[in-house]
Amino acid sequence: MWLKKLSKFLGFSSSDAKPEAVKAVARPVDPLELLMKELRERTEDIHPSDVITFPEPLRSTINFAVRLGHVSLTELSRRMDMDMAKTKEIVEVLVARHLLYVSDKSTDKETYYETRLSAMTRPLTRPKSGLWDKLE
Amino acid sequence: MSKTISIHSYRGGTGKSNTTANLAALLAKTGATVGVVDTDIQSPGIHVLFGLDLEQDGIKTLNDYLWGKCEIDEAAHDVTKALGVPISGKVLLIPSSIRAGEIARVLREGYDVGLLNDGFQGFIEKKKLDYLLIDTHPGLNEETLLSIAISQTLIIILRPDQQDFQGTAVTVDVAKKLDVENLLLVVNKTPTQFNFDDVQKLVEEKYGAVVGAVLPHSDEVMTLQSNGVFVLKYPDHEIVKKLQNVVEKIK
Ligand SMILES: Nc1ncnc2c1ncn2[C@@H]1O[C@H](COP(=O)(O)OP(=O)(O)OP(=O)(O)O)[C@@H](O)[C@H]1O
Ligand SMILES: [Mg+2]
Repeated sequence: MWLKKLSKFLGFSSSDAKPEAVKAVARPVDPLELLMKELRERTEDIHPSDVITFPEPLRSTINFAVRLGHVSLTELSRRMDMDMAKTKEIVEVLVARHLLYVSDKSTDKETYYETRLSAMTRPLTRPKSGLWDKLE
Repeated sequence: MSKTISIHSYRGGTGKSNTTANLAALLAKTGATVGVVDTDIQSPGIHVLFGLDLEQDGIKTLNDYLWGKCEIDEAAHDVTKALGVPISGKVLLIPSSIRAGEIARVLREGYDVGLLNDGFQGFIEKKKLDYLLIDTHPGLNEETLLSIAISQTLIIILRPDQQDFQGTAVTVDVAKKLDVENLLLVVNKTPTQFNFDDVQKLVEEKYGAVVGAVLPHSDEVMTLQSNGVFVLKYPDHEIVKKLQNVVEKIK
């Protein structure tokens, strides 16, 4: 507390006053890594509202692919400016969360994907009752 | 390649459905095949402008498609003849159901917007559409975000009103996050005593987006009472000329 007060008095911001050791530990977290971790851990598919919060260069790449409806692995790697291994790592998660589907147009040389955004307009809090079918 | 255009506004009653119907008619007049989908499942209405009777027996709607009761193209109805004037192209409408039970079911159980994604694609392919126009529900929700995400053009309609101004800023922000290539603002219901050039400048500066048209509040629109498509009923009205400018920007 006193350190904060003193540094404020001396005109330092509190972060400037932090001991060197603390500074070195606070490594910035890569937002893309963080997102991949979150997507791996959840079971829900990727919603349109998720894409808005994606970090770059993923967001603009997915926007491009969704608008076109399909995309190749090479194109994804080119747009994200990442090597094939890193691109594949990301793509695997997007396939698992059903944003990308491997297209049957894929060949030995190239993998093609179809894009599909989905989301329930209403969370399924209750199981389907079949009521509507019974009413008809 | 076909073009997809979403028509949206943050608040209700701005003129989305009227603008969608007008643009569909103007595009069809150029010989294009135009598909229109009413995704405003909670409060559908554009079918009225196209004179489509949803009370007829067995008529299929977007709801039937979403519940797996029909293919998407079975819910598409050719409304070109009902427009009442000779048109070289075609307008095909997929309406939303106005049956209380079906609206309630959507609200209660929800639906997968991925089906909309597939439906739009199927509609474009099966009917060989040149343009797909999506009339949306006001405000932001997953289905609207999906529509924006797959559209080349997004038309945001606003009235010269502070609530509309603030809400539109949110929508413009979202559109930019979704990398919409062609973002057009249409100011509607502008009081005729306003200076339209000033309104256009103000809105363009505020949002950093193109204003496609500043349309007047018009007694003729109100008098028509949604009984037809305005640009076809009043072909010489100033609104037509201004909307023609929007058509040029989405072609
Ligand atoms: N320029 C205009 N001048 C006067 N009245 C207009 C104008 N444009 C639309 N209207 C009227 O405003 C009302 C709402 O129009 P419309 O249904 O097209 O809006 P909307 O945005 O689709 O509404 P909702 O949000 O309920 O779907 C209608 O009664 C219509 O006739
Ligand atoms: Mg409407």
